[in-house]
Amino acid sequence: MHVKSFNFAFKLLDPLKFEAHVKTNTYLKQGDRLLKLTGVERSFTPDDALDFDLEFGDVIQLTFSDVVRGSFECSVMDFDLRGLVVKVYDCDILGKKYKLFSLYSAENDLERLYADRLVRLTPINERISRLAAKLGLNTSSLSIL
Amino acid sequence: MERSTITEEIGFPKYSEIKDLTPEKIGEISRTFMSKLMPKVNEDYKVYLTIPPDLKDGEKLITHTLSTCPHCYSLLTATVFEREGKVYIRKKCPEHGEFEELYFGDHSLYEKFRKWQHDGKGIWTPNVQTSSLCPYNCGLCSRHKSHTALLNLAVTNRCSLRCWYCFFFAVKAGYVYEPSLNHIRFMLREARKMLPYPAVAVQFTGGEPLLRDDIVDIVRIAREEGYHHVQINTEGIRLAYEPDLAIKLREAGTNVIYMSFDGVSPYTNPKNHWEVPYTLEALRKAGLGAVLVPTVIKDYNLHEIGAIVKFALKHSDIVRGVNMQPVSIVGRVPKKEREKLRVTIPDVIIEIERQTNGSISRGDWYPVPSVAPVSRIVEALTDRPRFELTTHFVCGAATYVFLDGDEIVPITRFVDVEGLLHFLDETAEKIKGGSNKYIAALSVLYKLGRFIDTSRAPKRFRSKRKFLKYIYNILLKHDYSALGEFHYQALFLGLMHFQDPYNYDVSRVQRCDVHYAMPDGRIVPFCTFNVFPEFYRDRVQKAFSYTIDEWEQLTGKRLSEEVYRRDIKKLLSGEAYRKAYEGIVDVDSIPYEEHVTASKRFGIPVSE
Ligand code: SF4
Ligand code: SF4
Repeated sequence: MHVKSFNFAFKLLDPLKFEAHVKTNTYLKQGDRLLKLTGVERSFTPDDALDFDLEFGDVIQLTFSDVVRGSFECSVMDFDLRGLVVKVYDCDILGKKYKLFSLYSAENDLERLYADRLVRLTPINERISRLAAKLGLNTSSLSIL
Repeated sequence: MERSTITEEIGFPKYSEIKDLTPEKIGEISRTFMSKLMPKVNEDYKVYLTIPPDLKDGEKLITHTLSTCPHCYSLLTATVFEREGKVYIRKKCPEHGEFEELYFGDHSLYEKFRKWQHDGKGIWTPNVQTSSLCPYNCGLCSRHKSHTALLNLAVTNRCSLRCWYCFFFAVKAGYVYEPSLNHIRFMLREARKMLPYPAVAVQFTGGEPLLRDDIVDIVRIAREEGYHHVQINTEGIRLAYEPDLAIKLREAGTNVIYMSFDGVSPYTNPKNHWEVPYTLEALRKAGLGAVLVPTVIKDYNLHEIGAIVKFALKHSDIVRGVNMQPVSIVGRVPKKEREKLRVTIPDVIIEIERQTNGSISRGDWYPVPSVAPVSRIVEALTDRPRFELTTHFVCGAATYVFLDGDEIVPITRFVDVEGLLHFLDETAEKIKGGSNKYIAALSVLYKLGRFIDTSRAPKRFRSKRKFLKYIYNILLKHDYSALGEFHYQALFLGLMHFQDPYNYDVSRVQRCDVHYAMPDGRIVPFCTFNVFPEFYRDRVQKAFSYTIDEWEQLTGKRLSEEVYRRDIKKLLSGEAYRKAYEGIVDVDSIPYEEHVTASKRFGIPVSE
C-alpha cells in the first residue's frame, strides 16, 4: 500500500500572517513495538495535493488551497507497506510547538483510524493512551514517539 | 441528463416509491446513492494545477489561489492582484484561455477587511469521504472550515412566476423536485448532527416555497427538530393575497420572511413591486418580520440602492434588515457584458455612502468574520464550542443603522466597534490562557461602557444602562432574545456576494457557512450548490424528483396552470400601495402602460 508523508514549511502574508513548520515521523507496527521508517525525500507536486488535504485538512486545518496562497516548501516521502502506520507530526505553528498523532491501517485501502485535531487537543498522555489502545500496545512501547 | 436517464443509470427507485418511508429509511436509501452522484474528475471536470498567470505592468501581487474555468469548470491556479485601487483575479485554462475578473472593487476596503479573517474549527462529523480536490468533494468533507450558520433547504422547484432568466423552475427543468415531509425531516436531522456546532438556523427556499400547501407543517417540523431560527425565502406574493398564511407561519415558528426586493420602482423590481406593499401589510398584522433581499446589478439597480435602504427604514417597524446580494453571473457571459453587470461588495458600500450623502459611510461596514470575538468570549466563558460566523472576509459585510427622527445613525457613530471587538478577543485569549473567567466576566461588565458614547446615540439609547443591558444579556447571559430585541430597534444592513465561475475562489468556499441540505444527506456550500448546478443542485434534485406526469397524477394539479397573472390596476388602486412608496418614489408619475410593460417584459403576464 502506498503511503506518503510530508515535511513542509509554509508562510502566509494574506489575509493574515501565518507560519507553520511540520515534520512527519512515520512508524510501522511490528509485533509489540513501533519501527521508525526512513525514506528518500522528493519534491511535492500538484499530484500530491489530495493526499496533503487528507493528511492536514482536519489535523491542522491546512489544505492545498491554503498553501498555494503563500510560500510553501514541501518534501514527500513515499513508502510501500502493509500494516498499522503511526504518524507523528512535530509542528511549529506561529512559534508554538505541538506534537500530533494519526494512525492508519494500510491494507487493501488506506484507512485512517485515528487523528488528533489541533483545535481540540487533549493532554498528550491521554492521546498516547488512546493511540496505544488502538494499536493494542502498552503506552511504554510508544515512548519513542 | 434527463431525470429518467440519471435515475436509471444509478438504479434509483421512483421518488413516489420512497417518499412515504420513515426519515431513517429514506436516509438509508438516499445515502447509498451519494457517491454515484458526486462529481467525477476527468469525467465532469479536469485539474490543471499549473503555474498561475503572471502579473502585467502596473499590477501588484496579493496572493495566489485556486479557481475554476468558467467554461469547463476545470480546477485552475489563479493570481489575485491589485491594479489602480481595485482587486482582480486572473486564471488561465489550457482549453479556454485566460479570464480576468473584478474580485473586490476597492483595495483599501480589502486591506481593512482582511485583518478580520478568523477561521472556524472545521467539521468534526464530515458527511462524505475526502476523495477529490475542493470544491468537487462536497460535502461537507473533512477539509471544510466552518460549521453551518444558515442551512438552506429547497422544498420545491415549482414557481408560479416565469422570470425570463430562470431555468431552474419545474416547467423548464422538466421534473418536479418536492421532498416529502419525512425526507425534509431526514435532511434537517443530518444538519443537526453536525459537530462542533449543529445547525440551528434554517431557510426554506425553492422555487417558491409558499407554493407548498404544507409549508406550515414544514416550519413546524424544523422547530421540532431543534431549529431556533426559521426563515422563508420568498417573493412574498402569496402572502399579499392570503394574509392569514403569515399568521399561520408565525404561529408555527417562522422568525422572518426573506423577501426578494430588487428596487423601489416597477422598472427595477418587476418581480414583486406591486405586491410588496400588501405583503408588508400582511406581515405587520401577523407580527412577522421581513428582510428585504435585493440582487444588485451595476447597470440595472445599483442607482437605487440608497432608496432601498430608505424604503426599509420607512418600514422598520416590520422590516428587520436589507441583505444585498451583488449579482452572481450565471452562464457564459462575454467580458464586455459582464462589466455592465458586475458589482462587488465595496462598490455597493461606496454607492450607499454616495446615495445617503455620507450618512452610512464605508467606514461603518465590517466583514462577517469580524464578529468572531463575540463567539470567542461566549465560548471562553462557557467552555463549549459556540456558533461562529467564520466565512471568508470577502464574502460578506454588515452594519446596523438606526433611524433617529429623520437622521440615519449607524452603530459605529456611538459604539467603538473595533475597540470593543479587540477587547473581547483579548479577554477571550486571557481566559483561554488560564485567567479566572468570573473575574474576566466582571471586567467585561465594568469596561463595556468605555466603548459606548451614548451622547451620540439615537435618543432611545441615550440611557447607557439600557444599551449596556442588551450587550450584557447577549454576551454574559447568552440570552438571544436580547439580540432579537436589539434587532427590533435596529435595521440590519448586510451584503453577501455569492460567487460565480468568473470570480471563484476556493479559499472562500472552503470557509462557507451558508449551506444546502441535499436529499442524499450531503450538506453542500451555497457556492458550490448553485455555481456548479450540473454537479450538485440539478444532478441531485433530478435524481430525487417526480416526472411532471407523475406529480400531476399524484396531486391532481396541472403544472402549466400554475401561472401568476398580475392585476396591476387593482394593485395600484389600493391604499397600501401608495402609502408604502410615499416619500420614496413618485408612483403617480409612472404611466399605467409602463407598469404593464415592466411586468410583461420580465415574464409575468398581466390581466387587463
Ligand atoms: S467546499 Fe468544503 S465541503 Fe466542498 S470540497 Fe471544499 S472543503 Fe469540502
Ligand atoms: S455562500 Fe458563497 S459568498 Fe456566501 S459565505 Fe458561502 S462561499 Fe461565501
